[in-house]
Amino acid sequence: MASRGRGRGRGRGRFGGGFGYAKQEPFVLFPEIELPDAKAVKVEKFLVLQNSRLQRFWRSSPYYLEETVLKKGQNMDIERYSDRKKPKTTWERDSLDQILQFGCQNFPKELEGGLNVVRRRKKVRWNQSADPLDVLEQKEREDNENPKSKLEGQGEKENEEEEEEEDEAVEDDGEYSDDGDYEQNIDFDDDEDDFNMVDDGDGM
Amino acid sequence: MVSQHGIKVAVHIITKHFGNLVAKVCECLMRRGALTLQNIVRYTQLTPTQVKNSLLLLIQHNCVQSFILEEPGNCPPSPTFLSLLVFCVFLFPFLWPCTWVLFDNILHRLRFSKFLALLSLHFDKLCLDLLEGLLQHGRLSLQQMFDRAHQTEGKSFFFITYSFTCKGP
Repeated sequence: MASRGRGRGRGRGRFGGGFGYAKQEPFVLFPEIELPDAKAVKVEKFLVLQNSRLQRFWRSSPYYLEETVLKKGQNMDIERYSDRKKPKTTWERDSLDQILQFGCQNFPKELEGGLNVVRRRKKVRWNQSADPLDVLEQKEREDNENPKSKLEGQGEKENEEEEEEEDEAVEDDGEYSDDGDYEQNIDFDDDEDDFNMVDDGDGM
Repeated sequence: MVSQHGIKVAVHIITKHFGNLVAKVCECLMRRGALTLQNIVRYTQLTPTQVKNSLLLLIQHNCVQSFILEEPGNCPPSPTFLSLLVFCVFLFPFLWPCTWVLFDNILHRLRFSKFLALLSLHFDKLCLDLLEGLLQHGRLSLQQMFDRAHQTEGKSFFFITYSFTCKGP
């Protein structure tokens, strides 16, 4: 095997021209090399400044993703001396959704999937604010329907009480009853403070 | 094909700029070639939301390109086929949306300050601010650029449009 390999090498050297055995040279430990002048290299402060500025921006921007963001209340450990180097205040980054513009074929739909809920909400609000007259009409309808819906939602006893109150109001409008406080309930609330009665201004 | 050291440099740049999570996704894409979202999640062992966010971010900064080529038929490509896509992405059409790292764009991130320096020689500060915004955010719509200029400098709408129309390269 070895002899075959050597033969091949010789063949190449003969016909290729120039591929022979390497010429041995004496080994020098530290050869003299001419180095470029270090003082001639220009220090470009603008580049350094801009680079650090950009890096600072990215680090504080929403683009810098971190594994877990601990809120203040979440850290249940006892404060240790080794924690002194940790940042005490965690500033809140903006979310990615605020900057990224979805829906204009910038991003694949597969990646936009998780953010659909927020977009739907925004869309609904926008539609409501678009036609103010419709909104007002809807509010009116809701106001008309609200008392009924409230009655439906509450218990039967409360319904009865309210009906009684309504009846009283109708009676007040129609004819005056002489019964005084007799018809009123025991816990009737007439918005008066029973313990601190207001003076009539007699000066007594 | 990117060499090992090239990948290391690119990962270092991404780590410096966007953090470990994004760098992990980016490295996975560079070492394994074009991948689907499911495969990235599987290989990186991160949560799907983390992978989604980091991919969105990389696409925003033009470090990753997503693409989908549709063809009639419903046979999903095999894993070996996906690994072949490293070399022949556009020759073999497939069904699933994939992402692909743009290696040169990542290395260009080191030259951002040089771009700004060159631009400052030929254009005024307003143009410099606009380019800086684009470099910081990767891609911005016209409206976003207006908003940003208003917020940072308080410039009027007129000056910005003027620089867009008259002084643009």
